[in-house]
Amino acid sequence: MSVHTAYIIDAATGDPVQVELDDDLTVDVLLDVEDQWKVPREELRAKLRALGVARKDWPESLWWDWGMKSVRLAFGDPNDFRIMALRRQAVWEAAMVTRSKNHVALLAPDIGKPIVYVDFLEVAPWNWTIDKIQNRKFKASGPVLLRAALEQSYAKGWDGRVGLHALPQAASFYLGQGLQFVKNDPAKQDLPYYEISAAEALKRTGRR
Amino acid sequence: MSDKRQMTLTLTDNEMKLLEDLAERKELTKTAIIRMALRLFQLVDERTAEGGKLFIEAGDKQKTELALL
Repeated sequence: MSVHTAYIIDAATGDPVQVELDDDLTVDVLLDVEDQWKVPREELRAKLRALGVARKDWPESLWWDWGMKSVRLAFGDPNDFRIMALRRQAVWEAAMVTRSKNHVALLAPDIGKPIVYVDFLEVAPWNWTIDKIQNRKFKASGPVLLRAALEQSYAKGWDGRVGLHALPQAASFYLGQGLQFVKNDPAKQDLPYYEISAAEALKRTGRR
Repeated sequence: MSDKRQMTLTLTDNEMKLLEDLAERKELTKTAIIRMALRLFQLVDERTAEGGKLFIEAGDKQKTELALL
């Protein structure tokens, strides 16, 4: 496991906040993530219900369970997945699982070349802005983790190529990060699939 | 955020061997294995309490019910 310094932004003041980027965590850490995020998620569900917000307008990852993701990964191939997360003191602010086997680029001109695939990326529930309920506490956690996925791709010699299936609510975020819509994927409940090309990754990371 | 609490665990030799083997194979601590087993137990308990059944899907997509005898 290696730990790097990174910065996220205090959404209220705009000040940078130092965090640790742990870029190779063991699966059991996701049990801690779930332990910290479970109650805030339940509280959000209660508030959404109380306000009568239609289910279709709830945050789409509100039903995710990082504890079960942890168990599922434990049964998988440890050479396939990598777990990264941002920690502010003892608090997990965002988490991501990437995979590096069996995923290839669908975007020209690199069709068929390997990519890092972002299986899951989520920021802590207190970092979501939800109309009439809460403003997010910190922002920029998602971009920091996505950048870490790009770095993983570079480290593998894959030129920054990264792909992912996004929940529809996250589409504008990924487009803003330079990913390109490729297709709706029938193999993944028709979720939109996005990819960042080597050329775009180069622009985004400022590498030469 | 919840704090962590310690407990002492008493296992038979066989159970300890199983735990050590799993920890080595999964490259995890014994504590991590037990925490994940607990999470899995909770899931199975919830689903079976709702009348659900457990199935294992083999490589050829054949599904076999995991009978909890």
